[in-house]
Amino acid sequence: MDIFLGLATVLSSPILLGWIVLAAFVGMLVGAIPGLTASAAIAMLLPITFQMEPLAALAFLYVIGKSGRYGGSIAAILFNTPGTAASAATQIDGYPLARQGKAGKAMKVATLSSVLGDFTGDILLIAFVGGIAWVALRLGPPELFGIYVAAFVVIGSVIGASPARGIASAALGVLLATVGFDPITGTARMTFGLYDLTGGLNLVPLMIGMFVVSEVMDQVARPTAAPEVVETAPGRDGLTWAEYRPCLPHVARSSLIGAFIGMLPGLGSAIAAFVAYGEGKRRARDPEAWGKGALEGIAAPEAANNAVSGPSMAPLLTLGIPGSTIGAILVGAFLVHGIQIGPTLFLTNRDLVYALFACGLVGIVCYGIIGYFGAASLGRVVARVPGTVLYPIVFLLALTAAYSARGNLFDVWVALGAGAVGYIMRRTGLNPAAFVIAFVLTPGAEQALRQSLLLSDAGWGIFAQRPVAAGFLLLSVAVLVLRVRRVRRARRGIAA
Amino acid sequence: MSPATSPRRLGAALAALGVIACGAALTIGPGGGAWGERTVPLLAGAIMALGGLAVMAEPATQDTTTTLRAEMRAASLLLLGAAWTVALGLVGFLVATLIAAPLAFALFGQRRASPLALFALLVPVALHLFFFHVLGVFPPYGRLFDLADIRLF
Repeated sequence: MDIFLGLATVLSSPILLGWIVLAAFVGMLVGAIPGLTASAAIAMLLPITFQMEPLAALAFLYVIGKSGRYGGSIAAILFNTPGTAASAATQIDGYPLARQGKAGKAMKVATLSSVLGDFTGDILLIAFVGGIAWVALRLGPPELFGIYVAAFVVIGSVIGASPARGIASAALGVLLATVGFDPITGTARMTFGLYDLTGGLNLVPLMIGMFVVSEVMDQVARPTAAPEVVETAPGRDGLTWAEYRPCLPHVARSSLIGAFIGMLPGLGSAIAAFVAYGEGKRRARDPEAWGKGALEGIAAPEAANNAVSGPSMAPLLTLGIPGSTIGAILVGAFLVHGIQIGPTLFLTNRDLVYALFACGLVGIVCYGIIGYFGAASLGRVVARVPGTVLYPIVFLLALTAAYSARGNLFDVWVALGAGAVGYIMRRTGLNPAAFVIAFVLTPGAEQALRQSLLLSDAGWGIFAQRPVAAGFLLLSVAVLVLRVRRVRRARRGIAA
Repeated sequence: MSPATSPRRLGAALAALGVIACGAALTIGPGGGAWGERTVPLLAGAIMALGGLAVMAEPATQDTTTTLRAEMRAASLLLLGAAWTVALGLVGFLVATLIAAPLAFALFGQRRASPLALFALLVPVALHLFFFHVLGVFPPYGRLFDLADIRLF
């Protein structure tokens, strides 16, 4: 019922609809530019939304995240360069189709599948998020700490090729999150006598540095070659029902795969897209055609990639645990507008949450329409903008946005420092995503840990006495052990 | 992107950072008792040091085709950003950005004079108008000189 009220709120506000349409376009555009991601766009645009109404600001950023995931497919199909990591799976069949002069057809399959996958994910989110919040409300600090530890371990060990590098990246994020006055005792921590550090490192410039400045540094060091657009042959860009019908079972299966993976912190769209592609190929009637331009080979990863979007909001909204970098940045947006995410969100801001979900649904329709009719044209425009013009503008815009977050020059230094750290992390195989998510998770995790220890007569033993907390801690150990064993086995295989 | 640094060097750097972090955490006052404000930084430092040791044990991977020239370009951009930030505090936003913008475009390989001049002028003005007039952010004031001090009439 709440979602219908949310839809009424959205559809009766022309200004809100305008922001959603703009976000759908901006997200597609950014997703289609090789090298830029939706995370970078959201980080850069976050300070701009400070002046907006909370719902409009959150909807704007949320819809950019959704359409940015879809926009990656434009670059994958038209330029043979995935706009996002998740669209690399789309490229496998998308580009061969484009080479056959069927780029328009491939784009339409990607659009329809993305829309169906995204709708499935959002409907599952809307149906079950209330239940998850109800359970989350009944968890105490020890249980919450167990969940936080599991999230740290999963995010640190699963993202990237090396669990050790991922865990070290997450630890660095935790460390930097503790800089500033201690929230309970007011003692200065890790400030090294610098006044500017007493308030801690601000999330917005940190995100801008990690996702935008480091990316621009990467582009200046190793420029991406200008994309060449594959043109559509006349009369080959239409899509018929007979052509799309075989894709539907793949879309349904992949949407469920994406929705499930989306709920788990840290796994994200790229893993969902590749799992769905592999599963789709395994079950395909003609697996030999996959990789050579099969429409189903586009439908499966695109549906999974976009189905991640909705369910990834479930841990964020109910537990305050972002499952992705986009989620981590949205935490900043909620905090700036004075909205405390976590189990109580559904008691204090229920209307806003469901209105946000409604904005997501409207956003899907918007990017679906824009994409179905205009994706190929957008791709051609993107191909015409040279990197020599785009990236200097992005660099100056990012630093100005970092300043504008609080009108503080120190934040520009934070963005530059985070950019340098992010660049080094990319170059050394460390994990910026694990770093950022850990940075966002730390205040909540520390609060849960210290409350648990204050409650306890048994010190750290409280985590063994509470079954749910103990279960999550054991799960963390199991995930870490299994991941290390798998990586070792893979390395031995390569060595042999 | 595949790693371009040897695991031993990276692991040693991470382990050293972890040890330094542990040392810094131990200097935090014991205001909250045994499990107070130093617990989390200490744990994070220890995990980072252990992570570094684990990275040191990883097998060496092939380096990417990175060149010193590429890394110098990245470092130059960072230096430009740092110089721009210092200049913001000295000469204000517009003058600092009017100087930094052509350098940024040139660093990315834009060599043709007319687009360079056009973008170098348009970008600072557009950013100034958007952030400081449309959004109403208070612009950084130049201590030595600021265009806002000039009164034409």
